[in-house]
Amino acid sequence: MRRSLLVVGVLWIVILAGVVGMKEFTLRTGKEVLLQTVPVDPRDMFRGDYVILSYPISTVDVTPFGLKGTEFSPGQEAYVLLGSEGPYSVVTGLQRRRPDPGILCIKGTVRTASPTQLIMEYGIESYFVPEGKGHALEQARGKTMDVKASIDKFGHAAIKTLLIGGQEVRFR
Amino acid sequence: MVQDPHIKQWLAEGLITEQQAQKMLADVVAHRKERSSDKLIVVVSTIGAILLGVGAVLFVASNWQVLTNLAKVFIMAGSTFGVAYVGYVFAYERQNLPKVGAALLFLGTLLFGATIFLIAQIYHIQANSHLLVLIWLAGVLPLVYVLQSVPIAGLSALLLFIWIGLFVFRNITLTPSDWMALPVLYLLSGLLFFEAGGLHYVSERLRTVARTYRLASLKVVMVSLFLLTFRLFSGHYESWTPRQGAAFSLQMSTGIVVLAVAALLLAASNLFFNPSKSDTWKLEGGVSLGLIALSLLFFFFPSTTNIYVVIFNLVLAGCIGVFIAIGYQREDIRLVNIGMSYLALLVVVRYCDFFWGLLSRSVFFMVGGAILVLGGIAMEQKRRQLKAQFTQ
Repeated sequence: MRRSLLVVGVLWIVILAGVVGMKEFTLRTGKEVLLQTVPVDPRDMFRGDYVILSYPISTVDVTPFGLKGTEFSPGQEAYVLLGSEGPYSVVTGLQRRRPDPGILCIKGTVRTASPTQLIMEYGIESYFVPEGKGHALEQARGKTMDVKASIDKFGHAAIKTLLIGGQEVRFR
Repeated sequence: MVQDPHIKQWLAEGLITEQQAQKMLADVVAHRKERSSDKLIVVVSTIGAILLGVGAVLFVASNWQVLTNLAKVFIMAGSTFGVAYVGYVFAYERQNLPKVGAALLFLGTLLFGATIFLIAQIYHIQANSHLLVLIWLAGVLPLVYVLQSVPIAGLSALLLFIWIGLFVFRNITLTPSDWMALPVLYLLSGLLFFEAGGLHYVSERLRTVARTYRLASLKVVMVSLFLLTFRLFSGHYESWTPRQGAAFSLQMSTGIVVLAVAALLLAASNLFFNPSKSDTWKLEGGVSLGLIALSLLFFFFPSTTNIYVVIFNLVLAGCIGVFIAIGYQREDIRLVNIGMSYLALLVVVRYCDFFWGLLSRSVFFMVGGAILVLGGIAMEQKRRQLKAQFTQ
């Protein structure tokens, strides 16, 4: 019994360390990028104490890349190549497989696919705020909201900070 | 277990003396009191354990800005392991407080889930991600088999069914028809889990786990069947058929087929091997196979009439009868309770369906109220009678 429970305890440690480790790896070793956010319905923007985020890179027009949206299906993984346009990262390509090392890309899941467009999810669509602080962010509507994210060599992304009007959001 | 009538019979037959009979009767009474007291301790300990867990979570939440990420994770992980260790000591090492120990171990599994969701919040992972629930389930499932704990088995069953819903909603773009197929998805999931639970009877150690899984999945099956008795899910209205037009998504169709095939294979295994050594295994297996076949028929051959509404109502009535019959045969009051609950629900709902438009409002409510009151009295009397009969 003791040994069995010890094994389960080790499993729990491995699971928790694994989840933390994966995200810490992305944050510490990834390339920092600035992503513009697009406005979402203000009534839904703040669900309780988290912010719903949407990005221009969430909607990928496939025609410039010689692809058809129907070649992808919902739930499928794809890699969106990123380049710079001013301070922001923008879509420069789309691939089904991970590109060569050194090429900046973000790994996403196809949410919906139309003939010319894919709606992608990257796992960075929500930002949690401390309890009771959502109201302070609501008052910042009308200003630009950007996200500083980290993308590791496998294409996994993690949010570092939220910026409103170019200022990093800090909660006290 | 020895009961009062047995003792009186042995005394009358001269097998035991008056003194021995008095001692045995006193022991039986003491055993009944201890069972009631045990149940109370488990309930109180479990509520206390849950409140402790909620307190730990609220502590971290209220000091969110002050604590560093690492501190938050350590507090929650530390609480999780600390509580689980104390539970293990009480229940298995010192064995002085087994019920409290079991409750603390259950709390440990809840805190493990809370820690996972806390980590998700720290790193802004979406809270409705099915992967978080799957990770929680992966941590809880081994404990089910190590401890054979009923609450932890119940939690794992709940997590599994939650995961199915989250997986469907996250990874599939649902068509309008897909929404209508959700009861079918859960019906097949419930049947699959019921059969998987049945296979647990292979090991004598896992009997309580098998029963917990089977009861949990039966509840899911009954809820799904109940939903399918409504025209919204299985029929049509004068001007609109819910499933008309939009086809099912490939993902939903694939999922339904995979679940059906898996449930079929497990049902066949249970029919062939009968690991539960049950007298009613043929009836259970037959009903299971029938429901799987009906689900596939309904999913792949929809109708624009209300034929399936009638079929599902009859099937639900039949399943209620099966519950009550098997409950009687096994003297299992829980099965009888499930059957009677759904009988009452079906009567009330169908009464509303049929008579809402036919009777005047006042007559509808008066007759409905009378049926509920009289029906409730009759059912409660019958239930008490059965409970007394089963415990004798």
